[in-house]
Amino acid sequence: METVMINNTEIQTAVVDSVCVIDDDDIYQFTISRLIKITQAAHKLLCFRNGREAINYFIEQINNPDKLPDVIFLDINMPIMDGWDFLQEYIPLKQKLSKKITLYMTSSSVDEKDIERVKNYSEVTDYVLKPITKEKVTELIAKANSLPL
Amino acid sequence: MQNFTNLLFSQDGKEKIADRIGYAGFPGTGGNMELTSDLLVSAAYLAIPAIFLFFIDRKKQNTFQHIFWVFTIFILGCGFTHFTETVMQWWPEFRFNAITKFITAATSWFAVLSLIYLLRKYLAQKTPEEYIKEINERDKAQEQLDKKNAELLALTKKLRVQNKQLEDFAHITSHNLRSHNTNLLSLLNLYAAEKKKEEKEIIFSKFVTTVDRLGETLEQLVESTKIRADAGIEKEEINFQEIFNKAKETLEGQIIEMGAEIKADFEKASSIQYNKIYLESIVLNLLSNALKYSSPKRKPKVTLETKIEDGRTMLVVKDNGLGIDMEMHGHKVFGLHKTFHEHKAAKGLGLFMTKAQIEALGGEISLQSEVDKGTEFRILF
Repeated sequence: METVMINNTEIQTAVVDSVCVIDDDDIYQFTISRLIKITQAAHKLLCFRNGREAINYFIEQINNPDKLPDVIFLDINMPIMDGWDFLQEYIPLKQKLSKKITLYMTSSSVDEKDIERVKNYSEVTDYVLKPITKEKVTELIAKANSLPL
Repeated sequence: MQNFTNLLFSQDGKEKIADRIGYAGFPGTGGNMELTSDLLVSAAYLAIPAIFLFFIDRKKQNTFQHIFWVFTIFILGCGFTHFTETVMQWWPEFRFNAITKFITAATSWFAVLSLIYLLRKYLAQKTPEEYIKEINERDKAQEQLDKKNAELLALTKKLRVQNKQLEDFAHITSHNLRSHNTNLLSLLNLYAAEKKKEEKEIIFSKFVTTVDRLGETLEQLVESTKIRADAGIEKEEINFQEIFNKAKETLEGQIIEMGAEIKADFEKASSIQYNKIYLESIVLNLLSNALKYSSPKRKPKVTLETKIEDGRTMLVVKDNGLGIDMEMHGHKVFGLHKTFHEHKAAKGLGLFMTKAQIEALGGEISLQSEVDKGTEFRILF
């Protein structure tokens, strides 16, 4: 499967320009894309099935802020490169990205260990437990938009 | 002082001594019988303390050291009285003799009391037989303690494995099962809010997919709990070659298609007491993994070898495939639904089940791997 890019061109006034979802679950990708469309949260949606694909894309677009997302929804459990391993590579990369990016960790895991571990990363704005509802999407995107640079 | 010396060494009655010597001797013996005997006794009495002193010197840790000292003085005293008796013939110091005897008498009684005291102490102590019995009992108790300790260690190991498995299970439930549930909830919300019929149909098809996946995950969980719950797993003598042939047969199409070279050497351990279904599953899984994750750059080469290590049978499965980045993935190789390569058939189930089966029978599995070089699995049964 290739990187999915959804263009919500019909949306006139989105809150942010683009949202990135890093998750291997195609059903989740489907529901989140629908929600972003319904809530008019973003014009564009970038989907990656694992951390490796996303990192590769970020490196490729390191100097193109237009192509980089405003918000990332990062899953924990993924093949090839999971959420934790993604963070290891993303943190040093973040300095070089020419854009302010808000990162949310999203997972269906209620495992305390995961929730505690997220707290160690200042780069992660919040840990969001799935399922993500319409209201939650609106809230998270608005919060990302209001955060200072 | 002069008076005291005079008193002590007064020789009053010295004229009587000659009579005594005269009377003690038998006719024709010259009267030297008492004299000779006294000298011999004195010599013996000197010899015994010498032996005692030698003994004390040698056996420094002797518990009875004190009584030996008492006896040494006592016997020396006795010897000295015999000696004074002898010299009295020429030097009749009666008072000196009396005092010597008095001191000897005092030491003798001190020795008697010491002996009574020691005897009581000795009787209160255990006899050598009692000691041997006690040592034997202690050895036996120690043996039992060691046995219990070993049992406890084995139990702790088992508990640790089971605890880890339980943790895994909780992890799977919280991750894998819950993710399907959250998807269903999300789809439900979308479905309820959707007005268009064709959009509803798309969402419905996603329901079908999710429900199927949920069923699959549940099935896998049930399978894995079966392994874990199965305490009385049947074991039998199994031939490695037989199991290997069966696995090879199952994968034959793949092997021919890939031109894979599979070698097996079960010389060092040809058979094992194990559960047949488990061993079949373990060998098939490792072999199929080696083929599945082979490198596109070269023909797959897989070797299977058995060894005996520290009295335990070991199976080593080595390939020249893609390898796994151990630094990145080493800790989750055996996790459920963990895959590290792009492969459509990769579900991350095989190694999870393999590990569960091996551990259920008290074994261990470990691996060494290098990216683009290959992987080596070691199973210690």
